[in-house]
Amino acid sequence: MFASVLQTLTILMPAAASLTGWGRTRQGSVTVTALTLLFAIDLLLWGLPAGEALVTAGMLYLDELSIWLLPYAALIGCALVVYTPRKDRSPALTASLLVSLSIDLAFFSLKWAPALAFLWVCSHIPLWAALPHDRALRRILLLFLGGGCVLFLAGVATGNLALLLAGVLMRKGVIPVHQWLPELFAKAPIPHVLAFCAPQLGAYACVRLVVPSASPSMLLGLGTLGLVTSLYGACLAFAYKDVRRVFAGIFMGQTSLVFAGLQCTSEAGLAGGLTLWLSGGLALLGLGCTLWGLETRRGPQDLSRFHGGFERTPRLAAAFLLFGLAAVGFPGTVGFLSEELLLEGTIHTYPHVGILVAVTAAMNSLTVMRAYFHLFCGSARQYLPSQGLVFREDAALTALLLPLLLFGLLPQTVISSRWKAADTLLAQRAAAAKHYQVLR
Amino acid sequence: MMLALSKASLVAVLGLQGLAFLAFCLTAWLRRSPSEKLTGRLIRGVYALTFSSSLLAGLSLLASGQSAARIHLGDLVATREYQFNFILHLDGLSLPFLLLCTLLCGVVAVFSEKYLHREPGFHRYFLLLCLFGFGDCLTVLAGSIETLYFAWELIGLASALLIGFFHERPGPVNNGFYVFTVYRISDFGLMMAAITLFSVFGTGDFHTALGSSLWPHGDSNLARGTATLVGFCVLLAAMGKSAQVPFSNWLPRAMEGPTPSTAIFYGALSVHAGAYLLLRFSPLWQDAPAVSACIFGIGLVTAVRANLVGRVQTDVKCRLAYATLTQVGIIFAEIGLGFRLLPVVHCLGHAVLRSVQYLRSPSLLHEIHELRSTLGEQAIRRQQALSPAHYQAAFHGYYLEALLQRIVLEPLHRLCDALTRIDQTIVRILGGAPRN
Repeated sequence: MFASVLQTLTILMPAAASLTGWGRTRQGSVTVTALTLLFAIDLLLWGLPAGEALVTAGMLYLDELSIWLLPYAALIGCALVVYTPRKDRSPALTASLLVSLSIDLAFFSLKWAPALAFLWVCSHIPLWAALPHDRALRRILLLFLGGGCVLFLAGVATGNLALLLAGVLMRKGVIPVHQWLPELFAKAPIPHVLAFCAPQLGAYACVRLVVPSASPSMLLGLGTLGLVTSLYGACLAFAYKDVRRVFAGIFMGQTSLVFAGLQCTSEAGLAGGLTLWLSGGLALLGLGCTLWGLETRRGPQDLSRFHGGFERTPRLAAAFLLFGLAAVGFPGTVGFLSEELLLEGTIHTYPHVGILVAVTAAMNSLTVMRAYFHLFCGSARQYLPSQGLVFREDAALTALLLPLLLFGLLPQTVISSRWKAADTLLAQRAAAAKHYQVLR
Repeated sequence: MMLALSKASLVAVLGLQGLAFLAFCLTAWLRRSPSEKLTGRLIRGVYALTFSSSLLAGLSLLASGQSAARIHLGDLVATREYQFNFILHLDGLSLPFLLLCTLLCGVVAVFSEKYLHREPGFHRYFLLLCLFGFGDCLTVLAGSIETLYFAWELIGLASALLIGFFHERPGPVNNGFYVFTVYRISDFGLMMAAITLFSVFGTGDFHTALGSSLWPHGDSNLARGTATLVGFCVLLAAMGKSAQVPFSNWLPRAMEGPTPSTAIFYGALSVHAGAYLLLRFSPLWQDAPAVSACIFGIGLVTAVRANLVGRVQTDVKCRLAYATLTQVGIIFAEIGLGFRLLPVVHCLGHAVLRSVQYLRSPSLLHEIHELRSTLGEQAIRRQQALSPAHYQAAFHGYYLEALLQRIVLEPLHRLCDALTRIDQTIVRILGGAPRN
């Protein structure tokens, strides 16, 4: 009872605050998102020692899979609200971030398909409202994301898994329907892009609605697409010069590895994919925030020359490198173990193509280093005063770094929990496979 | 009792450097970097204790009458099917390398204190030195392949960042990136070896995979085909780290870093890490004769090429780099021929000699000028000149870099560019934007 009340409060609080004037102020939004994060952590601490299906009150549902997703979404929302620079801050942006947070939290707390479909559509609204007046961009997003929504709704309405999966793939930016992702990253405001993409609602929809009842061949296709997309994203990031597009390529490459994990037949691979969802998401969010901070200071950046300025922003440079390396799974971060597990699982499932996980990670790490060297090294063309991190940036980046490093050194808790979630998923998949065998 | 002391000393070796690294990170993040004087004291204290601990570890191991010590530091993760073990292993191979690492790190740390006085990146340098020292000690002490891989990546990162230490110039930064690229290829090889061992044994523990007999003895428990596969993966990792052909070009490029770090990493520790890896996996080579032959061949080719290219270098550090490559190539050839103790002695002697030469290289010019002014031109012995065609080929490193550029990098870039063009064409068509 207590847990369901707390969960309801966690979900509704940001949306309610966005309706009030105080909630849209900096102080109000920071307080509300911090409280939301606190409640979500409280739910996590309460729920971790318990068994499966921790909350099943009404439509709300909380189990081993979603228990980490609530603090994850809350941290994303809180970090974005706190990090927002003064020049970008507006009541509209704050309200949009708060509404997005509520939608994400609600999405991760449900498993009833119609409710998920409703929230799926709603999650597009804050992004759409913030898009610049770029006709080409709007048209592309309408085509891909709008098409994805239609397919998802049709899938839920008809119970057709293929349609559902197609909708999910469009939202996740998986090959061959990925073209919108670099465009969105390049042209839309960074906070809205991060709030829309970082939680990875597509992965949740896939795990909740598709994976438990998908046929083995469908899962095989999903995993293969995930692997190919990850390599494709890494190649795009390798070739692009525009920093935002480079970031989009890395994002595409690392997040689609989650799908590669979902098709694994071993617990290790599945648990690796689920952990990578959290670790990659937070690290990429941090990387996005550092890019946002850099753009606020210097304007749009590209990698065609060395920009210099390390000595003016040493901690921003360090944060960029740390988040970048955490995203590609460097030792000492939680991403390291998740990639290890994922690699073992994918190679166990597909000895020949599983190697793509390692290739993607290697290529993305090269891109991260290339970006770091070009953005922060070399001699600056003009003298600029010190542009160190201000307190709000410091707080947001530290809050994002802490779990990445802490769970990198002490990963047992998070891996065990993901392992249990993987167990449950594998059991559901086994039941589905049996069902398909009977049908055949 | 003595064995316990040895184990505690090993933990101290890693713990001290790890704590120093964390302390530097934390103070830098909190904008509370200590003064140069305090940093110097801290680093001297850390490395004095580290070297003493490693010495104590060795002595207590000898006193205990045992030939090896194993420490299970704990599991990073332990589940039903997967364990990531941190295992340390001290034996006849790791002890000399550990002593070498802690001694050289300490000497170079003291040298760097003066060398980098008032340099803007003073603290950054020591932060990276501690990271490298930690990574290298963990590499030589690793008792499982996952521990080794963990440390291997840390060495690569620290090296690349130290080469790009003078980051305001594009040259060092580009070279740092080049080295990082080669190291990632090397990491890839080690990762594949780790995954193969995991899939065969379910663990990366060297005792299980390479037998529990004392080094250099031991029988690998792998089938011939698997041993060959793992062997080639390990060889790829070693080639990258030790700059063997075709990855030789990173070593001269690494000379852009600060001289003390060049001395310790590329003259001594990092460049011999590949040889150490091959020696650690030596029980594997008797089951993988094809890999042994490749090790010998690659080492020989590297040594000959480095010797010829080194003759046309005009810069003292580059010349030393090629001299280093020649010796490391010979060490590889020795390992390929089946020697075990000889390469260890060769590595240790070469590392110490080369470090001293690198450290003295900045003052070498002064000494040559003094020699010339005192004794005249005949004081400097000149090498026999190469023929013009030979000179040109050697000057271009026998076109190895150009070849790699043409057959690997250019096609990769073309492929990536083609993918972006395809995407942009689709976006243009769907977005309804004009062609230009």
